[in-house]
Amino acid sequence: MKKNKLRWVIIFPFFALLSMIPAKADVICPPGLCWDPTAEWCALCDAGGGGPHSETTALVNPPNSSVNFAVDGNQCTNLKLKNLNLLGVLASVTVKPAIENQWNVTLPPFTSQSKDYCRLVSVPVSWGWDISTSSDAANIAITATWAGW
Amino acid sequence: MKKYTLYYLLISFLALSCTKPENSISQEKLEAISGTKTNGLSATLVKDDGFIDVDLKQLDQEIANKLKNKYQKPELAKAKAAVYRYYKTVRVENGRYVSDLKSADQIKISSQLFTLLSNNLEEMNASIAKLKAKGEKVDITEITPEYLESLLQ
Repeated sequence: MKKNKLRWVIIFPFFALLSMIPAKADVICPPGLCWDPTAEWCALCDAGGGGPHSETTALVNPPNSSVNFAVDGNQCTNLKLKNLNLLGVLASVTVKPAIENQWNVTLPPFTSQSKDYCRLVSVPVSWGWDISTSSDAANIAITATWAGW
Repeated sequence: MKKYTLYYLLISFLALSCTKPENSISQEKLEAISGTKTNGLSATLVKDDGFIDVDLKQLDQEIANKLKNKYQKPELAKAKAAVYRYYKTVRVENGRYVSDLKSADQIKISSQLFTLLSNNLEEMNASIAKLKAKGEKVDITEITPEYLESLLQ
C-alpha cells in the first residue's frame, strides 16, 4: 500500500510537469535556451554568443516617414519602438516574411511598445520590418533583440 | 500523508512561480517606458507646481544628444513634466484619446505647448480613425499610472 502511494507521488508530478511542455508549434524557449530541431527540445544556446543581441535604427520624420530594418536574429525576435519625442505618434509595422498582419500602435510621448515575432526555421532567422508613420513629427528608436543561438 | 501534501504543495508552488502575471509591471518594463531619464528633475518641476514652457529647438537638440553634456537635459525634464500634467487628464474612450482640459492655465503650461499637445492628440485620433475606416486593427496605448510615473524618472 505504501509502495503504491509512493509510486503516485513520483508519477503525478512527472505528468504534471510534462503537460507544461508546449506542443512543437507553440515552442518559445525560456531566456538562455534555444530550440534544438534535432533533439526537439529547448537546449542551451551554443552559438551567437548565447547572451542577448540587439540592433537599433531610428525613424525620424522629417525627413523620413518610413524605414526598412533587417536583422539576422533568432526564431523569436523582439521589436521595440520607443517614442523619444514630446508628441505622440502612430506607427505601423509590416513584418517580412508576412507571417502576420500589420501592427498599428499608438505611442504617446516618451512611451515604448514591443512585440515578439516568432517562426520555427533554422537559425539565423532573417527578419525584416517596414516601419512607417503618418505623424509629421516623429522620433522613434527601433530596437530588435534576440537571444543568441 | 502530511508529508505527501507538503510535497504536492511544493511542486505546485514551483510550477506557479514560473508563470508571470500578465498585468505585472516590472522595473525593467518601467525603465523601458521611460526612455531617457531626467534624474528626477521632471518630478521636481511637477512638485514645484510652477509655470512650464519648453524651448522646442533646445529640446530637439537634447533628444538628439547633440549637447556637450548629455546628462543635463533641462528642456527634456520640462517637456516630461508638461506631458505629465497634460496626459494626467487624458484617457482612452471608445478607441480614442480624450481630455477634459479647456485651457493651458489649468495645468500651468504655455499656450503654445498646450496647443501643440492638444493638436497632437487630435492628430493621433484622426490617424486611428483613418486606419479603422480601412478595417485595420490599432493597438491604442492606454495612459496608465505606470506611464505617468515613468515621466517623472
